[in-house]
Amino acid sequence: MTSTEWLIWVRGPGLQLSLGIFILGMTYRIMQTYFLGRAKNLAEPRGSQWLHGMKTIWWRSFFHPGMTIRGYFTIISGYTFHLGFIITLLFLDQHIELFRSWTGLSWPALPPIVITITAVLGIAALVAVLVDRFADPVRYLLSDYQDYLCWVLTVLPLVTGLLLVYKMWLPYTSLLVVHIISFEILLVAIPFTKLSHVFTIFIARWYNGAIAGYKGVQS
Amino acid sequence: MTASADDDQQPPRFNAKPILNEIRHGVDRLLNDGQTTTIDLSRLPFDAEDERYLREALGDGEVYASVNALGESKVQETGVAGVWWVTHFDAAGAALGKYIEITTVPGILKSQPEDMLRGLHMLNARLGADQTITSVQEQQ
Amino acid sequence: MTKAKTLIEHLEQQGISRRGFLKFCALTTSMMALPPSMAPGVARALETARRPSLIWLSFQECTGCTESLTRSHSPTLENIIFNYLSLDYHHTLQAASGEAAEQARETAMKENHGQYLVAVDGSIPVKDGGVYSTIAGISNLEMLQQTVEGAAAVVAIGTCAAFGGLPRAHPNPTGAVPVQELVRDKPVVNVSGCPPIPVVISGVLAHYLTFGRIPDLDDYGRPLSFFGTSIHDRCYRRPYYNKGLFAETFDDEGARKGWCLYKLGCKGPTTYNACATVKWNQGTSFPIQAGHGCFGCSEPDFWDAGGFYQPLSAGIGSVGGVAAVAVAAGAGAGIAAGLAQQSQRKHAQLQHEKVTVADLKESES
Repeated sequence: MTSTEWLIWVRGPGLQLSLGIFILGMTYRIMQTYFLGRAKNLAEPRGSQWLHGMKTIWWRSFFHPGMTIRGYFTIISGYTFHLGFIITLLFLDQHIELFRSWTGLSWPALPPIVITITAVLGIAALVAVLVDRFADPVRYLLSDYQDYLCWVLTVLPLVTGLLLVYKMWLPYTSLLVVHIISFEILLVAIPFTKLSHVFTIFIARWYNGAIAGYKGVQS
Repeated sequence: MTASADDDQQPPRFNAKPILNEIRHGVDRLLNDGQTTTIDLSRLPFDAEDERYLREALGDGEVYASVNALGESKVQETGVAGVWWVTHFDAAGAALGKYIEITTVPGILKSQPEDMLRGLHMLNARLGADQTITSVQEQQ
Repeated sequence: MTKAKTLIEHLEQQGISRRGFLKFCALTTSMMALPPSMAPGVARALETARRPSLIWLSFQECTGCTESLTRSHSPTLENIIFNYLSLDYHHTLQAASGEAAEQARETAMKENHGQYLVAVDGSIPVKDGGVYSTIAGISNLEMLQQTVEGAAAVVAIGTCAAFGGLPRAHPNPTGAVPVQELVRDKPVVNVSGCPPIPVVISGVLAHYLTFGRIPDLDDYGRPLSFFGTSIHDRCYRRPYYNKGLFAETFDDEGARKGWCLYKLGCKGPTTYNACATVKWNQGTSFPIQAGHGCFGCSEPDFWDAGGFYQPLSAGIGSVGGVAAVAVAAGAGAGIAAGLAQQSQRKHAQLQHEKVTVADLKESES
């Protein structure tokens, strides 16, 4: 297959397939979790579950002092990576065009130089957490192949995207194919690995907040 | 949109300047090593704006010549001695190629031995000379 | 007047001076996209160049390639090249027709066996024995095979001949294939484009004329000197792309200011051709300069590569149906799995027997 044929495949059937698997997998995970049901709470509710659930989803995204009990490294690298990745994903013109082709929605982009910085910061943070994973004996022992797999799947779209913007390594068409494929593999992997936290984290947070809300304590 | 308004009014002139720099080095080479340079402008992303910039930067020189061979060719020295505009036209007057030559005299202006030889034959015939002068090339 | 054997004789017969010849060589060097320093070498090669025969075959095509060539912007130059090449068969341009035309082709093939050039425009239908396009009762497939047999090299002119083009676009009803799929044992040069830039066609022919061989080619068999860089790399609007300044519609402020056309579907980044430098219509302009994105017409399968006005980063085809099916299937499976696990848990709870002190003592012993 020529690189043009590859490009047509990854932009067409490849994208439909990976997006389909991603949506199917995520819907499956969410519905399965919901229909597992929760044990009936016989105590009288002392507050709103929904309100506290939603509040927790929102507030847990932000820094609070208790988070630094084990030092600053995880907090800083975690925020740097997640912000870098999300901004790169959502605010590059080319990416917005992809979302627009799916949903019809678009929003203002950030200049390419800003996206370059967020992508580089994202990659740097990923490298830092990988080094830390090897350096910290406890973390090293706790890591299994899935942690490394997720790391590779996450870093690849960032690296190939950066190479694409600066036209390095491969001709543009081939690199675009590699970049899109790396994103499609990530999409397929998300529902079936720890990366499913992109959605399930909100369920978990909501649940935590809802429990507190039911009990009428601060969430 | 994503950038400030100040820098998007002017189309970016990103080709004229590097060419001007290449010319600068070309003049230096000609002066010091006697090495000539030819820049083919028709194979660069080079538009009318670029050309205006370049013509303004180089200015007009002292020599202007027109050659009539396979259509017209215009040869013009710029304000920088040794730097020439050479433009070839076809018989219909359309520009076929545009070059900057950095040399003491552009090649197209020089008489060619083959043409001289033809001229010599013509003169021989005209004079009906007993002793025809032949060139070294012919003797070979 | 005897037929000139070499180009220089041909020029002398036309009364063109040595100076004119040198001008021609400088322009030919330029046309072949070679550096000007190679002009003396080109002159030396052209001095001894022999007159090749050219047979031009037109198959499933629209004649746009020939139109492009006949409107080429440097008539003097192309005239010389084409006068110098002996164009022995071109069923649109030649005066002869019918059997006389086919005879011209056969004579040229016989007289110049192993030496002649074949130019092909149009794709070749191979489905059902190639019945979908015939000339003088001969299928395109057969005519190509016959003609190429004694050829020195083949030049596939236009995207149809090079990659199949429009006839090969989905669903390809005639089973159209490009020249390179049928000609394996001869050098094939692909001069793609819909149509190709005329100077690129004559540049390739001039290269063969000058050096007696085909130029260096890229992965798609296209001459590197013309197809070596992408439109995007040579585009004068590139600085706007780098800054993230894009026209959103064809009549907004960005479009008026000449910003990048990526979002309007420009395929410049994935398209390799010389439009941004050689340009069209006597070097006047090219699509992007006229305010329209590049179609990518010199690339394989460009008809099937999504909408012309869809940005390169957008998907091809809709995802709505896929998404709906995925949601339904995922929800169905998820609900079923969740409920099954729930009932399993309830079942386990019902089956649960309390452990007594006696049980523990028993297990200890």
